[in-house]
Amino acid sequence: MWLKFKYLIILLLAFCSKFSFAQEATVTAKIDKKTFLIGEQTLLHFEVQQPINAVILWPKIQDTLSEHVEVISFQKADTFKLETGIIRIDLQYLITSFDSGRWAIPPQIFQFQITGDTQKVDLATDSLFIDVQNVTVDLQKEINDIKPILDEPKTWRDYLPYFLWTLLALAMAALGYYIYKRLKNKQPLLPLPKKPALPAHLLALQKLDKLSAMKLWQQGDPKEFYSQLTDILREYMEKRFQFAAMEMVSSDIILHLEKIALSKDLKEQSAKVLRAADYVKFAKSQPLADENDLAMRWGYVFVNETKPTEEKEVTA
Amino acid sequence: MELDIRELNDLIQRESSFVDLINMEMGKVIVGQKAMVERLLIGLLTNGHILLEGVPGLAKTLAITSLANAVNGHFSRIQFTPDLLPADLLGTLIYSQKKETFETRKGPIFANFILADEINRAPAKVQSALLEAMQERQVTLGDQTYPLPNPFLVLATQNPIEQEGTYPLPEAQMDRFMLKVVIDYPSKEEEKAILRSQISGNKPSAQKIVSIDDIIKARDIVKKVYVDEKIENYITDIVFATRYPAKYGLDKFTHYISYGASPRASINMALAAKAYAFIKRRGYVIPEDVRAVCADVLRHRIGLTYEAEAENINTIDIISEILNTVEVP
Repeated sequence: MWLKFKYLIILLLAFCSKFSFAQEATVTAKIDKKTFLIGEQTLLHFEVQQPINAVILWPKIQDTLSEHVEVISFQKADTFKLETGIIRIDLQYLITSFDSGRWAIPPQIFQFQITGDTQKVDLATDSLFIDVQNVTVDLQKEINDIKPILDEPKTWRDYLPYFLWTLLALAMAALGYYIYKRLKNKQPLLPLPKKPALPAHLLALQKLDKLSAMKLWQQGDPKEFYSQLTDILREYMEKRFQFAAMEMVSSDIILHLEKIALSKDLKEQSAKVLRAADYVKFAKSQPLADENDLAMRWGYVFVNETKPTEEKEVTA
Repeated sequence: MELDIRELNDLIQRESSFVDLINMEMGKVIVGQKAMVERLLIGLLTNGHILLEGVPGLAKTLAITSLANAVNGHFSRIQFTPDLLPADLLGTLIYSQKKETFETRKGPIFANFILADEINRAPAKVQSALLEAMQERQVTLGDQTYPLPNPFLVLATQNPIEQEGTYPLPEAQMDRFMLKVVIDYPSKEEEKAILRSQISGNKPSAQKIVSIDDIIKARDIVKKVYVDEKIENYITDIVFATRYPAKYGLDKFTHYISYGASPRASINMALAAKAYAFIKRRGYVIPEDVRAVCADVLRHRIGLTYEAEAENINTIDIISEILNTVEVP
């Protein structure tokens, strides 16, 4: 008997606790406009009041509330702490309907649970009704075209992305062109500081030394020897006397040398070596060792006798 | 090899004496125009046809006639006119009532030296017939093919003025002429000498001093003239510069050249340079020889754009710039 009474007390206490929680927590729903035109939007407000120590589980609202009521967006919940140890949470959904008629917004179930308690309490909002009306069309009036979309006035912020993209594209194009030109001209991508160029006579003497060391004619290749010798000397003449000796035939070079203030002997010797070089280069001639030696010496003599004196360099 | 070239030099010294004789004979008739005479000799020695361009009265026809006279060859002069027909040039088949068969009547093209005077006055079909004969060195009449005599040298003339009613030679046919020689006015001294010789009443003519056999023999020697690989490279560089000027640092000509010289230009430049070396008594070609003939070989083989014409740039400007840019070996 005592055992039955104990169970009854426990059941009564449980009922009382649920009843008392329901007294503290409330959920309400209300709508801004109950009657609106098809496609028009309105706000659906949910207001939840609950004890601070309760956890709330919101109803899962996706894209629609019912078959004819669609959810466009929702705003972040707003929470207020009331003095009585109760908190109020406001949540708004922007809804619309594209079907005319009277449609119900079904009750939304909110679940509450007191922290540390396993029991859950469901509270539901009331059902709401909305009247979605069609647009009344006056068929007596003239039918007009749909009005075009009105443009908003443009501000500099609207143009800013275009400007920045254009700037970026131009910068990329300029960079691409720069890289292309550098690669085409076989130059390093970043301009490196150039070494000061050697004076023409020093460069020529260096090359003559190198040619002499190669001993080309001694190894039976006089053609290569004379080709390199005349190339060195023509390059030197081009830099020293400012005429395009590399693009000139021997007879033209000889004519040019005639106009330069050189000793008669040097002019004659130059003409002789240039003609002999042609004979070796283009007629497979095999000159004597003395002739090759003379040609080599002519190279040195020509450069040394025509190199600018220090005084000339200073005045230049 | 050196000995070969020395031997060749000696051979050329011996066998090229007729060059002086021809020059002397032509010098009796023509005052100045040494470059033109040299080019005619190049054509004669390399079996190449020549187009002479110059205003009337510059002794183009006289030079060719004198060369034909000096060489003792059979000479034909054909005056090209708008009503000329291919048969007037090549010949035709004529029906003989007596023999009751078709007989071949060979045209004036069957000669050693053909002077095609004012070639641009004849319509395209006649030009075509001539140029085909120049290329093939044979003519087909009916079902018979007749070879043209050896040597067979066509020397055509055209004048750069009076272009109305003319038929300019197409580029493809111009390419068949080995050289296009542009003849300029004589110098003041030469003009005085011409004046004196013409008003004296004593008009000399060239004597037959060279036989056809001498020419054929000389041609064989010209073929042996040595062309080094360096010279071959120089020639190909020049020709390639007409095709791809930008690769030779001549970017400015890219928009001026519509088409460059053909491989025939390279071949003809090498042949002409060999003949020039022969005339200069050398058994090997040097860059001077190439440069000497370069303008005459290339001037009719480079196509200019409208931009070039608008800017008054001609082929000689382009050739000169190429020669000043391409490195000499």
